[in-house]
Amino acid sequence: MVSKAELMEGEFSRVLDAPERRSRFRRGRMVTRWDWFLWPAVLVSLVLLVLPQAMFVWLSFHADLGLGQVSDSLTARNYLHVLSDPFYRQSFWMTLYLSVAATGSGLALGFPAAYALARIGGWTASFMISLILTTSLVTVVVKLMGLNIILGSTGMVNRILLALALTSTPVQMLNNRLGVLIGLVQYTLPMTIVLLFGVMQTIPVTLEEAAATLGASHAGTFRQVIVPNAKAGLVSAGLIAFNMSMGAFTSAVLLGGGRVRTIPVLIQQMIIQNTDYAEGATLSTVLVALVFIINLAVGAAFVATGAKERQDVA
Amino acid sequence: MASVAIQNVCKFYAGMAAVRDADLTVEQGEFVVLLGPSGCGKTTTLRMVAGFVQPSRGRILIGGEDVTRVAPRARNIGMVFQNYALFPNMSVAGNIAFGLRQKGASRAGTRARVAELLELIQMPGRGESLITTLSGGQQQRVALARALAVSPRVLLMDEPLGALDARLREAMQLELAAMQRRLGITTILVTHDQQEAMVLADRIVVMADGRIQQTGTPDQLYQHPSNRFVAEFVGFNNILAGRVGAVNAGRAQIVLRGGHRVWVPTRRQPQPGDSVKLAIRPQHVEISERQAGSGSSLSGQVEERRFLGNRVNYSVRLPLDEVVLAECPAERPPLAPGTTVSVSWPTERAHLFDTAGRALHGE
Amino acid sequence: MWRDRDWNRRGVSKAMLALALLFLLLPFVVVLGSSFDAAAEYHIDFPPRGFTLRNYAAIPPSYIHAAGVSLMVGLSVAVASTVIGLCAALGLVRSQAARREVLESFFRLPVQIPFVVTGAVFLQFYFQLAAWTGVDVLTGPVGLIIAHVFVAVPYSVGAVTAVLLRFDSSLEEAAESLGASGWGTFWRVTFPVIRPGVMAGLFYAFIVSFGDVPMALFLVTGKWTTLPVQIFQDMQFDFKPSILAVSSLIAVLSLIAILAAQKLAGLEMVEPRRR
Repeated sequence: MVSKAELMEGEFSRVLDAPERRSRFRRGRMVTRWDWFLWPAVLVSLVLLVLPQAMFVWLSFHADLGLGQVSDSLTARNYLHVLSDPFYRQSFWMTLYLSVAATGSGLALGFPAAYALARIGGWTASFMISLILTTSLVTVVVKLMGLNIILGSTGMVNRILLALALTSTPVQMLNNRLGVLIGLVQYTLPMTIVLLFGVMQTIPVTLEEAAATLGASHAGTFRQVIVPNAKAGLVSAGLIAFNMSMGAFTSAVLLGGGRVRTIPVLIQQMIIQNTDYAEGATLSTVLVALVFIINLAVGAAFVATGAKERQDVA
Repeated sequence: MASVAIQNVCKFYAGMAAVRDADLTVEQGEFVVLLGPSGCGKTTTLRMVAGFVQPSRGRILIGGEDVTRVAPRARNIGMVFQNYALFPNMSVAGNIAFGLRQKGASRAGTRARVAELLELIQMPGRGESLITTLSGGQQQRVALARALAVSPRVLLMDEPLGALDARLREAMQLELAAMQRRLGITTILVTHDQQEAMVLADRIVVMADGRIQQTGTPDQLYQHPSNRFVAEFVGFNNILAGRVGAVNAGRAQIVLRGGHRVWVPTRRQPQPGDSVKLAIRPQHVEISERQAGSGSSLSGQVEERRFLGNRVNYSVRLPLDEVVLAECPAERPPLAPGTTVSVSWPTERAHLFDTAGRALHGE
Repeated sequence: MWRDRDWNRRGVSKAMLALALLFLLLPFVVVLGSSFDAAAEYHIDFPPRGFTLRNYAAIPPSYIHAAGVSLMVGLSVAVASTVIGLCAALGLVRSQAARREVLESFFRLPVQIPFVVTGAVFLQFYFQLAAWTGVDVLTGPVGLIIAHVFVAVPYSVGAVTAVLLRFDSSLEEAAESLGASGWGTFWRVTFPVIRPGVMAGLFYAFIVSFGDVPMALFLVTGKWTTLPVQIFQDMQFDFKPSILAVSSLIAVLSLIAILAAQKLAGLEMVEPRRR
């Protein structure tokens, strides 16, 4: 497979080395032509991205006057309010907590699953991956409806738990944070497995075999060989799952019963129900900024520990 | 050090036999090479000794104890893989020390042992290097050191030199042979390169189609191949088609395709009229410019002359389109292409095989 | 060559795989089963008691209408974002533009913003747009389509870029040396080869648009409500068994569409790697 760098290098050298004037002129013309493709697309995307966002952020610096009106003067009051109000703080903490928990659970379940898939390999693994991907492509409301039925107090899960005497009363898994957590894992698990499947394919089986001949147990091999070599992929997949969870709206509403007010839920409430547009805008901006900062921080921390580990001594 | 015994081992996959009726004993300290083309079952056999594959039938014994049902990690073996399988997340020292860490060795002891091994593979002081910064040859040596660190009783190697370029490979072959002799460790190596086998092995096991074709020293296999496959696989061999004419006690007269007749010593009596194949090594083929009057000898035309430094190869085209390769010392006056030559060989050097490939020759 | 199934059974990991598959597939099975449940009116449960097609028959016309809206929006979004994405991908890979990585990240940006936020952003934008220019995109589906195109373009760009990078440009050079024009070369040589990527982009764009809830919640109302939003709202406020029927239909039709896309358009969702 040709890497992009190779491809671009190849093109460039072809421009330089072209023996005939005629072909070089044609190549030069073709190169310019592609630029004409690129810039309109960039322009459109730019307009759609920057303009509305800028306006939105601009909006957050104004005060709500109720009934959808905003004041004319700039103020940072919204931000102060959002960042200091205990109600919002609690919501931010909860959203963070749920996202981290969902990411952790997703990785704990998804990584061994991806590992098993990668080692099964061949047609069977492709089929299962397609199946998993398919579940993520169907509208989320369908899955949430199914979960609603399964997680109810008389639903399948509770019936099994009661039958196995693991609990004496039905466990409340809907309209609370646990339900939302389960919904978030449903939402992010397919992507996690697919990503980690790709990562696992870069770790050859011979590494496990070598570890075995050197006396390592299966668990030891997993801990000392597989996980360290999958670390970059784990962090990357984890961040993606985290980002998805932080922004998840539908799961929070349908499985939280309106009681679990994560930030996305609040944003929708502010804007549609309360028409407090500026406040909604402020919440949105803080959310996006928060996610961005966390991504940066984790990325930086990962690079730092990676450098330290390379001084691993026997 | 331990001996390895493979007894009546078979391995079947979905109705197909990857290995069939394998019987082999490797003595303590012996260097045995499993040699054969791809798909012959040599790697599967090695992996059964390692424990990654369960034999469908038969037993594997290491040091006299039955390890057929024992997991790889409990067999106390060392293994070097074709792609080295070095752990990318650890340094050179980390890799070498891995086996020792699993056993819970002390830090000081581990450090000393790692240093010892780095000396052995002639890479002292490279303990902190990352695997990715090493060349192919260096990686191969680290893989070897890692396998030897825990003092295994058997060393297994799966085409370890396959990824190296030709010159490096030759150098590593000699190093490997010397090291094995010095350490005296029982070693089984798998390769498809028969030259490699000749250099390294105390004994070679030639395999094809899942079966062991012949076991013997390099010399035995070369001089006395027991079937046609071995004759053709180990060293180059000219193969001529013929039919049995007359049969005598211990000899058979073979009529070659051009009509020329030769006598070949045989151990098993073929029947007159049987189809046979005659094998003769290039260095035993004698050619000389055809003199007038030598009507009864096999003759042909020189087709090509290839100069190889210390020797010359002649391709001689016989009647009815068979080609014979003759190897001559370079000092001989050269024969130009197109020259008609007489072709002959010492009778006892020719090997005879029936249509099933079984050897008929021998004294 | 031969897979060594005999060693490393990996029982624990395989159990986790089974659990993950069960977890992901069970909701669909349950919805499908319950849609045939005769007692669904009173109490949803699984396994279903009694079989009936009543729930399917009782699908109200509002759902059919919403389905039509979703389809129309989805197709428009797919086509528009694929065109833009194709141009962008061609430009990204082929042109000598400096700082290509920056541009690539730029094109990936829309997906990284939560859909709730994007919905709110565009809502505000459209209000302002109406205030400034009098152009109202909120009463019809146009506003939603534009916003969906915004988030779908990254998928198109990604899918086409992936195929383009693997494309051997010497194919085009060969065509040109044989006298083909630029446009002709593109349609007869380049496009057929990159078609799987373009199809994938089309497909994903449609999926993203069809399945979206938060953005549609913000940007369309009344008779332009999309199907997922309709289901979403009824699940909260007005649950009827026919919702199960509609959801089952969506699930089954989606599955068929995905399989068809893989076979016909030669989509390769995941690249299988043979051992």
